[in-house]
Amino acid sequence: MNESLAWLSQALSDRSAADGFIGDTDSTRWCHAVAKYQQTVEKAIKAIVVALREVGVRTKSIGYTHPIEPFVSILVRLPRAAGTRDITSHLSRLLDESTRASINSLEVLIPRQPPPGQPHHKNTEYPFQDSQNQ
Amino acid sequence: MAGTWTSTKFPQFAEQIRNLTKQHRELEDEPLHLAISYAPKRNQQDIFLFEVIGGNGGDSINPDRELFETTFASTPSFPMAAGQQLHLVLTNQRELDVALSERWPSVCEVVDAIRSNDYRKLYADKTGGQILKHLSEAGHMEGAARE
Repeated sequence: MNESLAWLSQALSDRSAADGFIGDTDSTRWCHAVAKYQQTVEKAIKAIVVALREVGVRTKSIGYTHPIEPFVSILVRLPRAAGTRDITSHLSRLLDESTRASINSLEVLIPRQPPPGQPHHKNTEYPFQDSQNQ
Repeated sequence: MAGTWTSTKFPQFAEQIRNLTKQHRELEDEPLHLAISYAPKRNQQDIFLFEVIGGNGGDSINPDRELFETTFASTPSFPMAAGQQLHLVLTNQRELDVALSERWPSVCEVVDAIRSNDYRKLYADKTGGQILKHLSEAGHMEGAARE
């Protein structure tokens, strides 16, 4: 299996796990669904980025960080000819403004280390200020 | 020689790179603040495009202290000479401020090119104009420190 298909396979696996959590009647597990949906999107985008290497589009490294905002920004900035049906135009339509906003909504829920002395922002893993106040 | 890039090499791809920048301005949720083409010391046969964006593309900081860079080979949408590549260096205002204060190598390349007049502004909105001014001032300060 090549690398892009491996990322895509893992993305599909994450989505299957997410679907399992979201169907759970125990709402305390829904945060895991959100985390897995985020990872689904992350790995699907990384699959595209890796696949694009084959047509000469190279990023220095896809790395081990979870946020994919820079990759999405690149994918919608690929040079494209107006009115064509090539891969870059297809990506531009796939990652339209609404889809990018949805991806961004998931991205902000990725757990991140807060600034020193500050509570965690709203996320899928750690207790955060809103939940502490409830 | 400093500045000759703008009169000799840039005109060869000016129309293509302006068209690409025009496409990027269409992304309303990731507004383009500043776009410049520049000539760093490395890969001198290649084409470099530096963009500062806002909105959803807007506030992450690369923990590797390096601006996000992608290279593109020649395509029918952006034809280039054999072996030539397009480098798109993408950042946001927050990351750029950090990169300047910490002197990340990839932003120093941009500052050096601006100081040497080896660049052309392709687009700047009001925010982008301020960013370009800031980059120019950083270049002057760097130059003065070297003298």
